[in-house]
Amino acid sequence: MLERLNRWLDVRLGHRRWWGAWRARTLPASPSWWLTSGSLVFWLLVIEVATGLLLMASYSPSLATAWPSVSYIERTAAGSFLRGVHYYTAQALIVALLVHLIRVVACGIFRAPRELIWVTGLLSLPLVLTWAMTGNPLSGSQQGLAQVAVEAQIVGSTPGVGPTLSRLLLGGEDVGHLTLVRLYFLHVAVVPLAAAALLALHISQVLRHGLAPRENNQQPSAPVPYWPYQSVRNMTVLALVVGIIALLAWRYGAPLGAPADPDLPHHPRPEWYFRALFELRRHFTGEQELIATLLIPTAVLLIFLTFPLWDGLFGRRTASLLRTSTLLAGLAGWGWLTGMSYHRDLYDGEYQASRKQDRIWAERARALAARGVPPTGPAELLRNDPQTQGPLLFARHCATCHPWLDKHGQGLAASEASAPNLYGFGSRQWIEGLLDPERIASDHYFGRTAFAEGEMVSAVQELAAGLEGDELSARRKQLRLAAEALAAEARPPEAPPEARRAAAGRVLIAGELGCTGCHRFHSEGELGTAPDLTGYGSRSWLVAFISDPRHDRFYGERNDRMPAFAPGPDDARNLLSQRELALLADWLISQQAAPSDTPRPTPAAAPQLTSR
Amino acid sequence: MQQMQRRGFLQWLTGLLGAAVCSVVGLPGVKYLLESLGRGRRTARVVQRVARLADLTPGRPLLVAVTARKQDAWTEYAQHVVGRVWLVKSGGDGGVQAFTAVCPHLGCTIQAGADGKTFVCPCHRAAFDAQGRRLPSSATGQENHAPRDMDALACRVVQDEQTGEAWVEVTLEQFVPGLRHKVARG
Amino acid sequence: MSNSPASQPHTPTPAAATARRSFFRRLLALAVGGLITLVPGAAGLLAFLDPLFRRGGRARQVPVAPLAAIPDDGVPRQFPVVADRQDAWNSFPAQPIGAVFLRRTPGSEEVLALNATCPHAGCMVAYQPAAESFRCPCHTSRFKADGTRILPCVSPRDLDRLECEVRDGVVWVSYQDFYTGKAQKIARQ
Repeated sequence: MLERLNRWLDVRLGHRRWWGAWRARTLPASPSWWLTSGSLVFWLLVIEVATGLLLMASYSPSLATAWPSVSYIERTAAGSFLRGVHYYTAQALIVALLVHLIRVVACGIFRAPRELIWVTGLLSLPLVLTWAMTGNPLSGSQQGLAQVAVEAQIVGSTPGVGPTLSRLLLGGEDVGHLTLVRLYFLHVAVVPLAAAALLALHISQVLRHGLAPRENNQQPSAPVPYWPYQSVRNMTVLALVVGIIALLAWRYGAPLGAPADPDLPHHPRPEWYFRALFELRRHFTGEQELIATLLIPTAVLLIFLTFPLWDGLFGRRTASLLRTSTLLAGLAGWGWLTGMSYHRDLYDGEYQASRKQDRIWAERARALAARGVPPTGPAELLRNDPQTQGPLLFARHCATCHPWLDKHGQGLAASEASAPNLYGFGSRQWIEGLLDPERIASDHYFGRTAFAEGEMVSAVQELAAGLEGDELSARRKQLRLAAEALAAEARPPEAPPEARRAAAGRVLIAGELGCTGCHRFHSEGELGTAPDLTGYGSRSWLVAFISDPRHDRFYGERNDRMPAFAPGPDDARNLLSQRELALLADWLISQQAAPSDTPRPTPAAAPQLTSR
Repeated sequence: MQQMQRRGFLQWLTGLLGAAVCSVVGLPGVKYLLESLGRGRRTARVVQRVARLADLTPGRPLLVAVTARKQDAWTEYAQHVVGRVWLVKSGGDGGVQAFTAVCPHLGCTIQAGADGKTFVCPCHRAAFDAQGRRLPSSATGQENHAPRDMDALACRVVQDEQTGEAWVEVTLEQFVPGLRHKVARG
Repeated sequence: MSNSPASQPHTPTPAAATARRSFFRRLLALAVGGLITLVPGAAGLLAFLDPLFRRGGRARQVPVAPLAAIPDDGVPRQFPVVADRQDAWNSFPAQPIGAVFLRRTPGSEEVLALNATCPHAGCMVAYQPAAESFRCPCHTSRFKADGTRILPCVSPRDLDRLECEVRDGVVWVSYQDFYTGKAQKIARQ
């Protein structure tokens, strides 16, 4: 039955003849593992096309949709795996292509009449690199778009046509919607078509001229058929490589950084295969830059392209030696530059901190995206996220004076610490420390401020003065209850024991401890002598305090050095806009809940302030 | 003979390895394509206050929009129009009826008729009376393609806790068009 | 097929006529074919080249920060430049379009504005108070607090100064990008 169908099809398609010709291919010598590189490149290309087509089913290019659609793909196991396969196969492809080229040089498959095999094979290397280059930024990540910006700048520095070309590539002045659409157009249409044409020519040439016979082995006695003796080796290597790719894709997946936002500090770096060029650029500046970005790569390509001519120029033996040494020198140079670049980054603390920060932001953005991305684009996710913007705003505006350091000294150091450490501000622990007669005058609280010898410090210290033993511990207990009551102003307690203690504390604040002598607390006390304790540490209290600490409700005339960050309604005249103020306050109060186990921002969040 | 056996084994092995490689992309590929089936389901039911009772005039149907948070693949629309509802206040008892504006024929949005009291679908001129009942062909002189009356929605009048105003609260649902009977879409 | 004189045995000078007709046919085919290819080709090319015809890129006057935010301590402070951004089919209000460093030397009312983009490869430089200098994260170019290069430096020129003025207590910067990698400061357009 199957046989009859096969015959019926064969009359129409003639596939048996075609298949037969393929099977009848013979090897120049015995089958070899060395010969598998070509087939590996081919099948990796097929995998790239297959996974690429699948990804196209969910991907949407444009600045507002690229990153969200990729994070959407990442949210399912299969999508994440396929994207991983696509990502790692691309890298495997570049390696396989290099191995293939080395093999071809070693076997001398460029001599007449096989020059076209060499030329098409060699040209596929820049083409595949272009393919990768147009693919990487499609995720719309910070890293990807920074890479495009640099590439466009390199293109733009070409004399004459440069600016025009860069404009065409970006689809305008700078990176935007059209940049991604154009890269997509190149990545899924133009480059694949060019690659298909090159590959067709390459394979037809290989079939026409056969694999080159080894020089010392002109005619093998009995030709060994390609199928299955070589095929099984090809498939084994492919299966091994794909196995490794699948493992990497399953275990790690493809990276997806935070969405591009020019506002977030970032250290751009190219992919590993362009690290050598990146390093090369360090050594050529200004008008010489073209040497690194254009002349050297083109010259290397041209030298390799002329390999078939060398036999005639230098004689076969010398040419062979020259070619091998050129190839080795090229690889060594490339490897050395790449190594240098990575080595430099390894010892660059700032870069390492930035990478760590990038990972934190990437994770945060993905978590936020799972709840849906606003229609205006993914940059809004982190831009409106208190957890991301809080530390940045704190570093920029507060950390000149206020440290934000946990008990291990991790967090944001102040450049000129002269105000209380705000780590966990408003939490029970923080207020307990403030109301601790031994700690209130320490550097952690008022020690370095104008209030170090002020009324608050002396009032708290007097509460414990002269007390000993049971009396002292009773007083300490009262102060802890007061702290509980003040913490409850920002976060009303849920459980009854805390609520009971807070109620007891409230009575003490207005009564025995005498706080309301200076402070206002709900209906007790007056404003104008000390900060209002009503709603202490809550969002609205914080916003009002940061807006204007000189206000009567807070320090009034006795305010030490703290600037009023938003005294008026006009954002342009304020140090902090209403939006920034809300983000900062939201972040600070989110730290009250469990100050010990919150993620700590790394110093990279404030590169200009904490360079240690 | 041994040569043939070895050859057969190698062919078989090549095919097996090839199939393994194909499955690495093929199986997750199928899973990936099918995954969209389970995602992004329609918002099943939305209960929402759509109009003040005072804004309704007897005999004048009012078209109002029901909005809800909508997730379209990766994008979140905080306020998205998920449906439109015709509100009809009857003259006598002042009761309010609500109909989804989705035509039971093919799902176009039903408009008010020329008299402002009845309803007509702009796609195939399906016509309904002021109570959302299908008008017979004889009444309009045209064949009525609607398979059933307009789909009524659960609706009640509620009092606002703060202002004390009376509001119309509607439960928006989707129904399968083209059927004789009203079947909720799930 | 018109090349076979045998099919037209009665023409007086068969070869010459055929050759002429064949020439005209080819010419016609070329003209028609050329036209058919050129028109959509040119249209496609024009559509593709569209970004070349859209020019913006003039300097934009943007309020960046209140003067009070820049103490006269000689330390440059970074501020985002926020303006409306038109991106192909979208218009986004109030987006960060770049960043500037603002600095006031002690006792001076004058504000120095520097574009935060490194003139070498276009990365964003950061100010390091400890070293009292700017550092580019990409190729480690260094600049003094006033934006001049610390040699040896891979950047071809100093950080780009921007025009700025204080109006009514608010610093307005005339924001502009420049081509990177050039020794001269050439405005992008």
